[in-house]
Amino acid sequence: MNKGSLGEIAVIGDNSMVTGFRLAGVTKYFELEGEDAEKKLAELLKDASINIIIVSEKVLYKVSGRLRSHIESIAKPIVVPVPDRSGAVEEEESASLRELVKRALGFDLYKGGGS
Amino acid sequence: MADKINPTRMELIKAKAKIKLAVKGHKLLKQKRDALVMEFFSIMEKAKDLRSELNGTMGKAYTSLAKAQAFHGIYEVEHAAMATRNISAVSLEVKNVMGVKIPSLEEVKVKSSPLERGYSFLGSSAKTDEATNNFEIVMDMVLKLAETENALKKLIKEIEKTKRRVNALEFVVIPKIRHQTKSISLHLDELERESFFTLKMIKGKLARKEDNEGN
Repeated sequence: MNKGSLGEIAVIGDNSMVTGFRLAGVTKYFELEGEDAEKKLAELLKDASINIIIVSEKVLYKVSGRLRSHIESIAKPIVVPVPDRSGAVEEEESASLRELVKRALGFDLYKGGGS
Repeated sequence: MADKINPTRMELIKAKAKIKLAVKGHKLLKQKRDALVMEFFSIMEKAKDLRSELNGTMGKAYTSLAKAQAFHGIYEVEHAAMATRNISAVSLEVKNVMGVKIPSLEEVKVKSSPLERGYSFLGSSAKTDEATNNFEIVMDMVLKLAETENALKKLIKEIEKTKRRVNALEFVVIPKIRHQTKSISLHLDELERESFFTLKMIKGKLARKEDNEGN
């Protein structure tokens, strides 16, 4: 798995998100919300022809813990949460990068303008 | 010491070997941790404010999209969206940093000129162009984020795990075995003194006996 492999970008989200990313050139899109979106996400994760899955934050933060940890443990495809039309959703404290960094390195990287 | 071990020479040798191994492992893990932290910071540089930037740009992009949709109607915009086709595939490589699999993406050209976009000028206007533009910027950021955010999360988790191990070795395992070896060797010394003393005693007794007999 060391060589770069070509793969598609997929989008899962609401109408605005999907339309927007289609304008930007994404060709694989699924206009789904709620549970259907979660199912689709699980399905796409198994699809070897997909490299990146762009998914709305709302969907991703609701998926079950197991799927979530699976998503975080694999390197391909990459799942990227993006905010949907209603704006950014705050991730739960424990999972956000900032909290993780604080816990692991012992100081808040984002606060004082960095290292 | 919770678990009792036999104070024998064999156990002492075993414990000493354990210390050696633990110290070696501790050193290696420490190096691993440092390497991970270094990798973490090199990615961090690139990714630091990307997320908040994305949130801002995303808001702008949605506004421009809504404007385009309000101006042309949802269907016209939909048609425009159908026509654009720039990104077909991205190349993803999986790097391995100290056992952590990290994705790395090849750079993709996302931005396009209005002529390349494929939708007709008739059904669209500057509003559609603006929406497209904004979403292309978003796309660009998303691709960058994809590469970095995921990797950072993985690295930081691994760093935490490694750190825990390093600390466990340094503050629990190694001191524990050190204590064991100490108590074993104390005990062995004690035994040795004891037997030495008994030998002396016996020797003295025998000497006295001989003296008595000699008289």
